[in-house]
Amino acid sequence: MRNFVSRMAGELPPSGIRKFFDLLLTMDNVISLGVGEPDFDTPWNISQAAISSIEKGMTMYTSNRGLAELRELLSADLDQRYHTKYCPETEMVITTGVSEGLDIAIRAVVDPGDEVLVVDPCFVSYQAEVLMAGGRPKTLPCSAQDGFKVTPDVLMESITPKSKVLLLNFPTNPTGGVMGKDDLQAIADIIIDHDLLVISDEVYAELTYDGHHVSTAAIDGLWERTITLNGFSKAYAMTGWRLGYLCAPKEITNAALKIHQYVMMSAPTASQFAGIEALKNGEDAKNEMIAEYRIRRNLFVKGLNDVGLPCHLPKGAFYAFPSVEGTGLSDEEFAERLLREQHVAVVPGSAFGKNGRGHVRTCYAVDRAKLSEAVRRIGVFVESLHS
Amino acid sequence: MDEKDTVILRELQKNGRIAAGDIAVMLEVDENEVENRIAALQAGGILRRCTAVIDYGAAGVDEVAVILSLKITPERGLGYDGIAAQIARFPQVESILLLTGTYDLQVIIRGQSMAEVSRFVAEQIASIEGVRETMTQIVMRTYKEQGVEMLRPGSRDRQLITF
Ligand SMILES: Cc1ncc(COP(=O)(O)O)c(C=O)c1O
Repeated sequence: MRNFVSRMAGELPPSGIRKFFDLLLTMDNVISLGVGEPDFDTPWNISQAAISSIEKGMTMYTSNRGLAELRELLSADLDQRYHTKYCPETEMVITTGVSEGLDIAIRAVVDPGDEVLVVDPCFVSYQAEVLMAGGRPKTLPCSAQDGFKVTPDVLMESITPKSKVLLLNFPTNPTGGVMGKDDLQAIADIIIDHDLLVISDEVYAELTYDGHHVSTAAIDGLWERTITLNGFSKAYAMTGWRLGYLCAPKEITNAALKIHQYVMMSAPTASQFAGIEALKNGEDAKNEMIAEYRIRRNLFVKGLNDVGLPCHLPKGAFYAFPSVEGTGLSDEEFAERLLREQHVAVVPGSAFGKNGRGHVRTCYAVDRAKLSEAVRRIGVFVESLHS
Repeated sequence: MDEKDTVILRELQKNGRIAAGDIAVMLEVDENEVENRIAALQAGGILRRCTAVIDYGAAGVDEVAVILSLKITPERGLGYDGIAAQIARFPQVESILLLTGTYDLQVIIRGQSMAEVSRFVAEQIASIEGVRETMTQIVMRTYKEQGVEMLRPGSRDRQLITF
């Protein structure tokens, strides 16, 4: 029998943490800092809105773009929060999570052989998404010294004549890095000079703890060349609802919409009703969760530093990215031994790219008691390495 | 009272045993400031007590609670306050609320047995001058108390690793 697997699927790099999953399954009493999602329940009024939409029989497809009311609310919300203006009728598509938004954004603009610049370390899906679209991922190394930002120098060095798209994600998974207005301004001219398109994944925008999130499209000259992606997963604790959105100038939105229409038809209907409720009446619950993440960040990062894992204070998202270099172990050895010996799960930084080496990603969207127990266990582990 | 005090109160309400040092890290201030603020909140009568929410059922301890609704004839010059203060002195009384509607006061009473609580209501409360009518309801189960949902397990299963 021939090998039916496509070359593309066959060649996709496997997940960097496969062996972790296998190991995890054999263990109990594990405290996991290895997740990338809120530990809160979706606020009940939001869940209730979806339930009642089902009770009313609203269980059909919506329009391909998504419910008009949801797009209108989102458009107003983006304008108010980030000063980006998108027309709900022509410049927005409701997607099945940011995950789908990423896929259709990349496929809408990348031709085979086009180079897509991705920050390193970055969210694991990016390189694979680019490969699936036939593009070539090119990494943009970021470092702790720069706060894991994209600096003009690094950007200049990474651009080649084939570069077409710059994929940004701030606040960043896995580093918690943030780009402020000045930081974005500093790279805007380069983006424009080299005629790049930016795909800006802002799913963690609202989880910005110091100062306000700056949306890439809000920078002068960048709106025209930016696809903004965002969603409900993180800020509203709605990972399982699969609800996101894509915003871009009309031509690009239309291209993405075509793909969306063929692969997805429309985002889940009940989830869209939940999204409407989230935007109308979810602000307080959201702010409470964000305040709690901030508190956990402060406690957790101090805890990591106290037990001997140097860690920058991440300014956004809910990840801390401490260095484990001082332990003498590689990030993979560190993660594996920490799991075996102390039953704490963290993700090796190299799963997110070469520049993630020597770090581990830890998610502090975990309840405080567990978080402090995790710090205690990490402390015991680090201590054991010295003796 | 400012924003920091509000956070301190909220944290203490969630967990009366939280360390001042932890609150200091959360607020990004030093520990002394937190201690001073807590002392000031106590001195000002704002922070009355840090207490615990206990699920006695889970501990296998039998305990009864009743909600007692009272109609009161208000006293001249004192309104409801005099009678409420009289009732408040009994240690069996957990809370007293003044309400609009059919009944004036709602009193929550806890005791070891139904017999004990009944006796207490009949002998100590019903007999107070100015109490015109009582209605006693037995609490069958507590689902949520002081913001804590009693039936829900502490945490749900989720994946141990995701990206
Ligand atoms: C940077 C980043 N983008 C996108 C996603 C996926 O989000 P969604 O749940 O909206 O598909 C994640 C999830 O972890 C993420 O970290």
